[in-house]
Amino acid sequence: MRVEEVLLRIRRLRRPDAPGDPELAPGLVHLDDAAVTTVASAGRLLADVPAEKLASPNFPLRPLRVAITGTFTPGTVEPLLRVALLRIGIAAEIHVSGFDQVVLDLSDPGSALAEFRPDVTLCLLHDGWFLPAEWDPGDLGGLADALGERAAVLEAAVRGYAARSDGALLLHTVPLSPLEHRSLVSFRGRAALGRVWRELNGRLLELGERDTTYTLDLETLLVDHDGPVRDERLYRFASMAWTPTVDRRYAHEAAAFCRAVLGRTAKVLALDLDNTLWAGVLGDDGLAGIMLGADYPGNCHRDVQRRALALRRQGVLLAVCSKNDPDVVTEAFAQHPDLLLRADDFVAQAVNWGRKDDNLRQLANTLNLGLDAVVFADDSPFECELVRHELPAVRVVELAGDPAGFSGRLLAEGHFTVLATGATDRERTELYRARSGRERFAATFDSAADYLHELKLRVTVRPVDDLSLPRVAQLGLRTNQFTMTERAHTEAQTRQRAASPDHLVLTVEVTDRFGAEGLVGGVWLDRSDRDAWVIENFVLSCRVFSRGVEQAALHRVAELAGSTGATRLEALFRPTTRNKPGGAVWPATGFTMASEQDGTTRHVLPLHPPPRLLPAWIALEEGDVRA
Amino acid sequence: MPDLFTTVADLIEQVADVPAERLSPDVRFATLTNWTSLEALRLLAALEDELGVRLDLRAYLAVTAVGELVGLVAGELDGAAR
Repeated sequence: MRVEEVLLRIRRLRRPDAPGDPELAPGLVHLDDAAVTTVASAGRLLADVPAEKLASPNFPLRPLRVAITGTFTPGTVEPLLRVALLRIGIAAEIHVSGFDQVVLDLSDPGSALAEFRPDVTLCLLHDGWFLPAEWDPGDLGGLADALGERAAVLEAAVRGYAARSDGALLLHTVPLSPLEHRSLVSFRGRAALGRVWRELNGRLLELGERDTTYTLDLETLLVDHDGPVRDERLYRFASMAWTPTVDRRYAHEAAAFCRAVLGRTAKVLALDLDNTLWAGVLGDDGLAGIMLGADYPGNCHRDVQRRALALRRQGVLLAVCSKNDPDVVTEAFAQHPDLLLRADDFVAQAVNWGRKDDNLRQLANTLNLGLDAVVFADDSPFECELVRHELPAVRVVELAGDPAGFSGRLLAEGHFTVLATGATDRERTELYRARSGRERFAATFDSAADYLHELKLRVTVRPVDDLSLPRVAQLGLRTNQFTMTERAHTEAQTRQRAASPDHLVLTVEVTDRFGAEGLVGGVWLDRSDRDAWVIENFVLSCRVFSRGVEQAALHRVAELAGSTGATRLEALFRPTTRNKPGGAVWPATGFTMASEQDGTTRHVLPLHPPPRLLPAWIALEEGDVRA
Repeated sequence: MPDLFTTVADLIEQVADVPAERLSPDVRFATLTNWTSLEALRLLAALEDELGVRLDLRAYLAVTAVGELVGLVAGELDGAAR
């Protein structure tokens, strides 16, 4: 869904007779990169849309009453908060107070805010409210007293409100304008002002340690915010203390708080392994080849492990969801010296070649948790899109781009945010492990092929040429999992075969709607016996497993062989420690084992009648093959 | 790239939910439904965000018609380019 489409759908929904749009609320993530003005427009338009029109069984919306009040004009946060809440499954009714109403709102039992009976009250604060209009830079002690008096006024209002209301209240630490800092001329004075100001923030943090009052450390969160906290023009003209982008950041954090208040916190983090917990592909690069040490980029992946471990120690359950050989993974967790996470840190490991959506569904079942309690983190856009599409309730963290940003992405959304943690959280992993045993998920292949249909996969099989020859030879030599032998053809051997009329070397390329995967496989054929073409080797990159690409490629090979009068295809397979996924292709595509000699098995597929191996979701593109 | 009037009209549509096709250079902001100083400030933020300009608030608040605003922004873009 593009930004324009989101806005169009919202406008459509506002018509009184419009039918509901169950895809809209989860689709609001597509506004994440839109300009803040656009998000605010969306939020204002959504204010008129009844929650029933947005509801869907796959993405249930929970009601919540939220009040926004503050020491300045807080209204601009409202539309952004509405979007931020809907995006995470909360349909809020929002009450907004006017300029500087916070003390009145909280202390008067008959205030409009009190009568609204909010579940959550957001108090937006700014430095100008705490600072006296005039203060003497030579008397910072006097300033500290004045700040303390203002804080006491706020505290009394907050305590009074907390005693009367059972709703949660969110305060935050307040950044001090650099204008105040620079108003002092001495370095010592500026440092002292910083200390006085931090005492105020310390007091605000302390206020959030009791009752149903909480404090968001906004000062810290604004450290990586792009741009100034306030626009002086809007501050002087309209008492707006935050720029729109600060409004947006605050709305994001406040939404995560609301989710925590509702107890809709995610409980499980399902982690991919290759290129997520380490750099590289374990099955291909081996235990010594994956990177997760002290240097870039391994250290980025190691940091992901560190963050995951920290989550586990606070009660989040960790699980593995990886397409890999389980024995290789077990070996890695047992032996790799740089892994911070060990097998014991996970409540379950789904290590197989099945579909990840199936594995996640099974994981949630085993742990007896809803799918909305599951966060799935993976570097592959394919897997992420698959899970988003098949399981909209699962929260997907796509670890795209530079791995240095992975930890940030994992935590930015606040999926695991809770109001407070306790002693039982630390032991949760052990509790669950005891309950579920060390369950490993069986490989599951099933029919949910509609996603694959939507992928619009196109597979091209064509003879190798000068350009592709080095690449396909490299792929053959590098591939350890989907390969038929440990003695793959060298570049020279591949070149020889490419030139020989008795041989044929084919490349396999894949394109889908996300773009071209490029050259992902190769087939080395011996056709000296015109009756039986022999597949000497067939390799496929693990990036495209479980999509039917191997069937499509073999379909083309069978077509080619059949068209020259061959009556059967034969395939050789020589097991290694890692190529189980490769060997599985022969029985799966209807080959039967005919003989075994010196550790090599020979598999046969008759070509009469012509075998139909092409999956319905794949379009096979003609490559130019001279037979 | 759309012309400046179209860009400004689209942004007015976004902040005030007025269909852009109803806007012309001589439409006065005061005649738009629900146009208050809040919408005016939203439009300021949107313009600055979208076009990468920074307007003088005094000059901006003195603007009464859409065409006048386009002129003000054009002058600012010109100054920035120079």
